[in-house]
Amino acid sequence: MTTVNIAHLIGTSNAIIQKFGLQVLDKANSLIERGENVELYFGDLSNTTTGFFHASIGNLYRAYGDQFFNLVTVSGIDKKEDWTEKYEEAINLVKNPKKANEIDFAISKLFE
Amino acid sequence: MAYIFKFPAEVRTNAQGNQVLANFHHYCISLSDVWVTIDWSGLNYMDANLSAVLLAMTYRLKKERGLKFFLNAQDLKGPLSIFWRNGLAHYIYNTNKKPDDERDSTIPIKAFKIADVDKFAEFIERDLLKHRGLDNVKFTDKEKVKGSYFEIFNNIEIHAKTQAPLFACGQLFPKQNQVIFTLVDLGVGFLHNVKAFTAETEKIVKAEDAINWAIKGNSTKEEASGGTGLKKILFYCMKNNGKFHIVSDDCYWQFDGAINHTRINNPFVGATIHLIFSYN
Repeated sequence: MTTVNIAHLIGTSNAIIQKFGLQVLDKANSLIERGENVELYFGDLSNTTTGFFHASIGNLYRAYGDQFFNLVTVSGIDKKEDWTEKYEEAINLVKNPKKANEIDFAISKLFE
Repeated sequence: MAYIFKFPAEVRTNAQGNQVLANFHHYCISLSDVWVTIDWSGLNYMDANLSAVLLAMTYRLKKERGLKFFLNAQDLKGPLSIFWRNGLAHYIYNTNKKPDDERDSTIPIKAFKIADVDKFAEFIERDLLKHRGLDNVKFTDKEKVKGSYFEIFNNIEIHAKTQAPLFACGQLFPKQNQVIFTLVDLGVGFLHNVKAFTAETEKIVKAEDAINWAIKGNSTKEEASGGTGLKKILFYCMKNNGKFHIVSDDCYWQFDGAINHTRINNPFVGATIHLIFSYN
């Protein structure tokens, strides 16, 4: 198991752009290809966005399917209330991109 | 010959106000290497957050048309003195002085390189959310508002396709418990990317349809797995009496409880996003 400190990897505690998520994706991919399991450490981050989670977690789930849960663990993600929600959303969006949620229903009403 | 653009009595954060600024840009874009007077002698009020739009316009016009701008200091009195305090006038005059905030309502104007996440985060966290005017706002609300601005920043970083800076400015309205924050990029706008991406599918060719498409959570970037950032901001506004305006190409798109759009003549480039949050 190799721990990737995301803040150290991307050089900032502000993981707010997609580009940083893709850096995490590349790093995790390279470790997994070497046969290692990966622990992604979020604890030194101060800010994240959905775009960051989609690019990192969403794409890792897309690549490995349910094997993702064996290959990649996360820690420090409970530092902020909504990070777990963003993590789960990134995975769920890949699992079922067409599945509408509360937000989709509310927004679709605006366009009726 | 004197080149003078006269502003009307009021410019607010709405389609009419945006049209005034678009007209100013349109007036200037045909000129080169001359002084232009920004005539505020008849202006009684302008939302200070619109400084970001005006600064983006003058930045582009200085760079691409060699224009220089003059503002009569006599006009920067009373309610318009905020444009000294938020720094716009310093930028126009090239004084190299920093914004001088003496009141609760002012948020300084700032320009960022489009990938400078740390400066942007510091601006949002220090200059906006730690502003003494927002002392009574709940932490959870501040976190939501901050998250929304970061989602917008991410969206611009992905889609704007420009090396030009990003301009930001806000204004607090303590009596109304409201904060308006404006971000302006000089990129390609919403329609450019969406039109190309949907050429074989929905064939979107109008700016309002491109913005609607993006706001519903679609994304032109496969690796983004869906552009849920804008959708979440809209949902937050729906739940919290917020307002969300997007100006791109010839469309002023706005959510003020319902979605409306207004056609803009002689549009400016890139995208302007206004977020208006209410707090208790």
